[in-house]
Amino acid sequence: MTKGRIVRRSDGFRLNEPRTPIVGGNRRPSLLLKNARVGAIRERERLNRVLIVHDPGDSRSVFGLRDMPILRLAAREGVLANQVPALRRNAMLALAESPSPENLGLLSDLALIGEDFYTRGHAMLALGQSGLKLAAPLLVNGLGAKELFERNAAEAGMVALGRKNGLGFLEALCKAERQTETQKALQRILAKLKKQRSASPKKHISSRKKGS
Amino acid sequence: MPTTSILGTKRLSQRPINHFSALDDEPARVLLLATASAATISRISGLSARAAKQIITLRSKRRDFTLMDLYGFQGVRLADLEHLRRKSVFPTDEHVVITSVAPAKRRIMSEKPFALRIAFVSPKRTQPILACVRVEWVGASFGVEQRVTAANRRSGYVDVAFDKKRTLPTGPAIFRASLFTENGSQARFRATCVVLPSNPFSLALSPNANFVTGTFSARGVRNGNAFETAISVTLNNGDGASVSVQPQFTWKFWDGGVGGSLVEQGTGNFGGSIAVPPFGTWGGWISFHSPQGSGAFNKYDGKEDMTIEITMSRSNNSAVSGTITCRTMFQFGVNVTQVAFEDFTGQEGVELDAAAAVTRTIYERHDVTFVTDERGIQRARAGPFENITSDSEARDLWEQWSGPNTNDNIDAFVVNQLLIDGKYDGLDGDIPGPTSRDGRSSGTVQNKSGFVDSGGNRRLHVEYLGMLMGHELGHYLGLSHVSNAGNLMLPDSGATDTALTYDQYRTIIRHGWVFIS
Repeated sequence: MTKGRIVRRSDGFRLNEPRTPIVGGNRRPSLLLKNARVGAIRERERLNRVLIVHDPGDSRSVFGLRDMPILRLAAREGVLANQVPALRRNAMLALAESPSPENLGLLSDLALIGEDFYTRGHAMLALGQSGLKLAAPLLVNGLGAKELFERNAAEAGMVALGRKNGLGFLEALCKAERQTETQKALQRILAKLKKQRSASPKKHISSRKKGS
Repeated sequence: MPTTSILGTKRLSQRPINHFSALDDEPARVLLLATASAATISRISGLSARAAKQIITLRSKRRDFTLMDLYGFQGVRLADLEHLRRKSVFPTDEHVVITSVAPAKRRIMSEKPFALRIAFVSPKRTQPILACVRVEWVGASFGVEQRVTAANRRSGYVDVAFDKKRTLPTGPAIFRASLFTENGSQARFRATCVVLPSNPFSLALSPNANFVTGTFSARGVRNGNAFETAISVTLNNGDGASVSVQPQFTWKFWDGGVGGSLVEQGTGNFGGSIAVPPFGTWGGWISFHSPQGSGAFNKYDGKEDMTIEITMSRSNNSAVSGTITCRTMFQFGVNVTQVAFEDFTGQEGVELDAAAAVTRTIYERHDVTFVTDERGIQRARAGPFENITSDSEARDLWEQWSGPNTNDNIDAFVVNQLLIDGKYDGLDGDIPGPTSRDGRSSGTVQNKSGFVDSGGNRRLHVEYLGMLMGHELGHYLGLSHVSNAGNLMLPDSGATDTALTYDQYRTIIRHGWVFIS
């Protein structure tokens, strides 16, 4: 048995490092300029992490008012910024949690004239999550979008809006709608919400039974 | 007595040395609308000459115009305006764009100081103040920061210096550059450069099909009564003249490293002639077949590591050689399933495969591999699963669609949208996931991480999606969230967080669907 193999068994990964010696070793010192990191840059780096939490296992931090200017910047950064798509989407959704005029103005712009269907779709989703009835015309408009993704996002936004404002609001929208296709989409959303509502009390009862 | 033989060889096409990875960002041509001429606007954006002139007229009246102002133009299509938005920096924008990242002096030579040039475009009102570069290379990754000066802003680029303490050895290095503005906006750019040998010629080996030539292990794959091993060979030329290399090579499998005990040896041939271009690379691929009873088979079968050594000769008969460790690995299977596959373009399909290869590279760096089975669910049959909006919908998907006709593969479903609370982009059933198809937790779901590139094409963010799939598979294999910096299982892991600890490795290999050949 070779010496190398004994080392591997004590740490299975060490052998994946190069065996051939590297001139100067396998570490290089970082050169970080602490004084150059102004508050906004530090905040941006923090928000970059918070915005890409993947799965519901960990709850995300609540965003504060001081985060909003940077979140608005992140929501505006288009494809040329080379950020991961989830970051921009989640920045938009974070803006909707704090529906100030600046935030809503930006989201409305993005929903209306965003440069692609993802941008418009994510903005509509965020507007729906805001729960503000004012978002309804933009979402109704999105239900008739050419791109499937955009229509689906508008539908999901409308579902969120319906959850927060009640079925009556959606029924009123449906009755007021003149386009047949859009009306059908609204009816579909209503049916979905009604189904969810009828299903949720059962879950509640069963969980109480389990606990008792 | 059976012996190892060469199953096949081929030549690999080489990418440019400063754009060496398919995952690199593309250099961008960006319109700075505050100063661009009508001809430039028309050429880059594709707008008609008339529309471009209208922009110039508008600019002369209002310097702070926005995209919204352009919607009033006659004869301009919405698609044109979307295209313009993707390609442009407006005077009112508050962010910077990195247009390219490349060595300031065209190439990086091993063990020599160098500078990396970050070229950028920014509106007058928002200028970059800090450049940061994170370097991933054969050793531990490190970072370099540099202030962006007024002179840099005037010239439109910053040269980030890598001094003699931060030189790099021969081989590829990934540079992840960021530019920050004072208000907190950020632009990124990824570039992979081949560091050329100063000595000036070298041969490097890497695992088959990995994205960036590295030094992690090659893998022996069991195929019936044999093991097959595939490796890539890269010849690096740091000289200004082309180098001729003989196409024949010798190969050796060593036990205990080069100079230990020789397991098997032989010769092979790439065919034709080989000329490595000046300051360039040449790539080849070799596949070995080790039948039952051969020396290499017995070592693999005994779960022992070996070292493969490849030696080639230049036309002047001087030899050049490289080595790589090879071993069998624990493995599992993954069904990568496109939900509503009609929604995936051909390009997106290719990029989903590439993302799965990124995931595999993450795991193979830690001695675990997987095979994939590519699948799709028709839109007409996908129903509500095209967009997963709740945990229960994801569980319905796993219950109804996981695993028909497969042997113990984990189901990784890729959907257009994951809209649970509107935030998350990955989901798994249980930690660890079950080793049966029963119940409602046999799979993972991930958002496809799509975007539209500056040319208007639908794309997937390959590196991020690869990491995301790896993260969710990690949950299925028994890994919970951790707080170790750089770890794949961070709740907010990014594309560069791909490390796994030895304890995590031991957890993975205990999952019932993970086995070793």
